[in-house]
Amino acid sequence: MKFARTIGAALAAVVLAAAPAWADMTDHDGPGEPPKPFEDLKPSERPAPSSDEAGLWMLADRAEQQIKTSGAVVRDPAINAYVRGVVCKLAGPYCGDIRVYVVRHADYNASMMPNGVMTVWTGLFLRTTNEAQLAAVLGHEIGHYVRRHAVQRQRDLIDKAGANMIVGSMLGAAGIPAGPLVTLALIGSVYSYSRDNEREADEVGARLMAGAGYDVREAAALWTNIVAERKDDDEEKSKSVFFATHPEPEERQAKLEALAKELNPAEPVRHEPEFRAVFALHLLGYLRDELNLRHYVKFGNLLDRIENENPAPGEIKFMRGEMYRLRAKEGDDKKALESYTAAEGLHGAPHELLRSLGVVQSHLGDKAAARESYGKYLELEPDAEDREVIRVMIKQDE
Amino acid sequence: MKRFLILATVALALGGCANGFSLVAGERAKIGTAMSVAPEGAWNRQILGNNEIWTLDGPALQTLRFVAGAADGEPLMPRPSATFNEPQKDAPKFHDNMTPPEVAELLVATFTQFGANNTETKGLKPAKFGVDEGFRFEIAFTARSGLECQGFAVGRIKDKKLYMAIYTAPKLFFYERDRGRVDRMIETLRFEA
Repeated sequence: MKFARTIGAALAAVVLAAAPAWADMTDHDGPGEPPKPFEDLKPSERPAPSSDEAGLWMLADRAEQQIKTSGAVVRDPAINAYVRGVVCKLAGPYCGDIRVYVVRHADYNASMMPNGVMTVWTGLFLRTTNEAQLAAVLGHEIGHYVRRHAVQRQRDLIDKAGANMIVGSMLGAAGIPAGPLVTLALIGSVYSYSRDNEREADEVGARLMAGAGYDVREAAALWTNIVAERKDDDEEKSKSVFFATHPEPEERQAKLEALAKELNPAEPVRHEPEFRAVFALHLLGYLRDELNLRHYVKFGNLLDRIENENPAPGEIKFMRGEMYRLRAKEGDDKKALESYTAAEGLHGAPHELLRSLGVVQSHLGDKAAARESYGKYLELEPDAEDREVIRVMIKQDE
Repeated sequence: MKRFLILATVALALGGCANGFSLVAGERAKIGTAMSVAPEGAWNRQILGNNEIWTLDGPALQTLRFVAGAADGEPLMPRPSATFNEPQKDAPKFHDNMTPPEVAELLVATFTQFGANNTETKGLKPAKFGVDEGFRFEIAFTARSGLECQGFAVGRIKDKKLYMAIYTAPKLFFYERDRGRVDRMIETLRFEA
């Protein structure tokens, strides 16, 4: 009941605060009809069976069936319980209506389908530094659901794009491969809510955060992280599903800072250790996914940020070495060598560091050092799958 | 949207099975200028620069790709046409000082660039490339179509060029059905004198 009051109050406040946006949200009844505002979904509410909204839910149900069986969905119980827990803290009575799927995917995105299917990419967990920041994203998505933004946006697209395309674009935004014809542009057209919708979702999210006791300033801080990551990266904007579907972060950052001043609870929480405890184990894997995209500028910025705030020097220094080694520009082998050397022996640096170190030592012509590194790697990982190849490499470096 | 659909249709026609494939059967087929293989059965073959794509039932159901000599600074394979309207980025490139683990990484990055998800390799080990010494590893990924695929790759770096045979197919049915045949064909790979 407390939750019901909290979320009710949060939504009522948004309606009052965002009156112009609310007034703009009209049904698609055609010209001449007076605009009808959408009502919020109520907890456990389903659209009337004969409505076009029910049709859209059916398409989303189809997409959900594919997501459920996808190998990309993360099954780790700790991660699922944690993310679901944050969703429920925020969503209160809507908790049971929202199904969260964590999808193993580099880069950051979260999406919400009209039927309450929320997808979160694992890359997001590299960008959020505490639970409050994660809550900012999840709260925003809950806002889209409760406000029925997808219905407003997508009902007219069924005619234009066809049902299969809609399902495909839902899957695309979820990070589940859905065939070559689902393009970034289509995902963008289905998921680009109006700016008013996005502002409203941000505001609902901020109010839900405050209601659950989170520090709303962290919502703005998340955007500082995102902006920092895009620094000097000209390619990024055109590539990301996220930026095809969301407005500029700078604008949102300013708005959220203002909201934080207004809304922040007396004793706001960030829950940083709790967040770390769940995701620290997965840091290397998620960074490896990110590096596989080979967006080196963005990856370097990401490492800089994490290194500044996260006590995981072994992992970060190792991955910086990996970045230089794979980029393989003039002088990069030397930089990789420095990074590996700095990482060696630090907590969190994996044994494969020695294999990578051997590779760059070999590239740099220091065959004796390479042999030694490979040898140490085999000592520490005697059952490594690639042990036979490493033995051949040792011989070749003799 | 209409324009998009027209473009999509054109892309399908261009990338479809009917275009660019010719039948290959018989005792030996030359691949590029430096390599040959003995086909087992009748395959469809498409030549794309220094790459050849061989398939029995269509590239979505099984692909045996030959990389017939990627030189220093060259990508492993050309970008597939289906990614035509996505932002272009340079594919990761081969360097002639690469070790086998780096070649496996290169293949993962290449597949990722071209839209595969959760690409992973395992089991890297020394193996024959035809009669020559080379390396081999297994690969698994989710294709752009959503199909879970798996396969294996064999490779050899010779005269500073990378030669590979990469077999991939959906986990369901096709991978198992054709892997024996592909293995036997890989035994017949020869570098031309």
